[in-house]
Amino acid sequence: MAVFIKHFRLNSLLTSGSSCSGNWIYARILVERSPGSLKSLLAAPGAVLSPHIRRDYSTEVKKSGDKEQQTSSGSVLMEVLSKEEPKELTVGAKVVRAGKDFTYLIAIFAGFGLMGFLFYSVGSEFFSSASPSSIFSKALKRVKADESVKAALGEPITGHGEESGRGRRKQLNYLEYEVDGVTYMRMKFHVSGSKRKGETVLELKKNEAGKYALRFMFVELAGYPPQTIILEDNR
Amino acid sequence: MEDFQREPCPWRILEDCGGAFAMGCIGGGIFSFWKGYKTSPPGSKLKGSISAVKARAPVLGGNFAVWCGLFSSLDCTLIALRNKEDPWNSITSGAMTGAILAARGGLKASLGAAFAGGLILALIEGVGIAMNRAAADQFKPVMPQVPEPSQLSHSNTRNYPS
Repeated sequence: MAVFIKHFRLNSLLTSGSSCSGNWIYARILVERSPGSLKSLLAAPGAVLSPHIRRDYSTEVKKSGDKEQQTSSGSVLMEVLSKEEPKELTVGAKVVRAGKDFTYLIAIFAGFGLMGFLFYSVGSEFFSSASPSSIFSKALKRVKADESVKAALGEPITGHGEESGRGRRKQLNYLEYEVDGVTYMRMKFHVSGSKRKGETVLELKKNEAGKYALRFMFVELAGYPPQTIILEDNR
Repeated sequence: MEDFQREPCPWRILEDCGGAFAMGCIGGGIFSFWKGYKTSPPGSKLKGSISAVKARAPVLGGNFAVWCGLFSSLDCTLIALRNKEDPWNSITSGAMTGAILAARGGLKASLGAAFAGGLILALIEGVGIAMNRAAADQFKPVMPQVPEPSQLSHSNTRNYPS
């Protein structure tokens, strides 16, 4: 591949002229041995390439007998290869570039921060025992295990929160409040069995150790006749 | 009222499919209109945009509908199996949807898509949870008049610890 590029470069640089295979071989050897000396070779007078060889390697198809000179600016590859290094930036351009980089950096960090915050909220919701979801989870397990609730609602019992949006019932209805420096949490969620539906209400109280303990929990059945099943009352 | 609502689950799948199709069509329509405008030659910009929208928007809508339909079916299946509605269901079904749709690409592609699907759904759930929590934190009353539920038989007055 490298050799091919060298040849190509040679082709686009060299002027087509009369066949001179001796010079061509010389050029080829020189290129393969020391690519750095290519320019000096090309600058040498009489450096020419035989047309049939050029046609083998060049991507540009030329008609035979075309004597047109190929200028060095005509080749895209040549342009790429001979492109000069970018000039030293001015102070203003440097400021603009630094500002751009800084803005991107801020955007990236803000994105990471937002993502971290969201993952934190998901993780703390799932893996902390004081979070509404884990309280819901525990309470639902208890409701499902209760014999009188099973008998009243009919198995299987499904638990869900309030409806939020189309068919999503995951939003838990809870309220944290403070009385005399003690934190309480009251929660409501829906339960439905094969026979009846109901609503579970529970309240938790934070004890001295800062952990929630159940204060009361009951299931109120919907419909007629009204019925309340008290699961726990520690008042 | 909750009592008069039907169970969302089997119907939700169809609703989600339709909603996702509409969303994909609208979003894909806007995007392909812009892309068609950019890529068509001057003089036939509008024509190019319209043909790009016609070609691409329904495809994107279909892709969205397939994703959401599968997701919703899996979500409903999990709800029925676990008898519980919580964020785990949607995260799991997002991962499963990604895995199923990428299954033809092999195990590695499938696992990658599962991870991506679970991540996206976890982020969506995270937004919901964070918003819910922010609302709850903002509304944390001190010394409120929270009535004791009348359903509990004895003592309807609250006996706060002194």
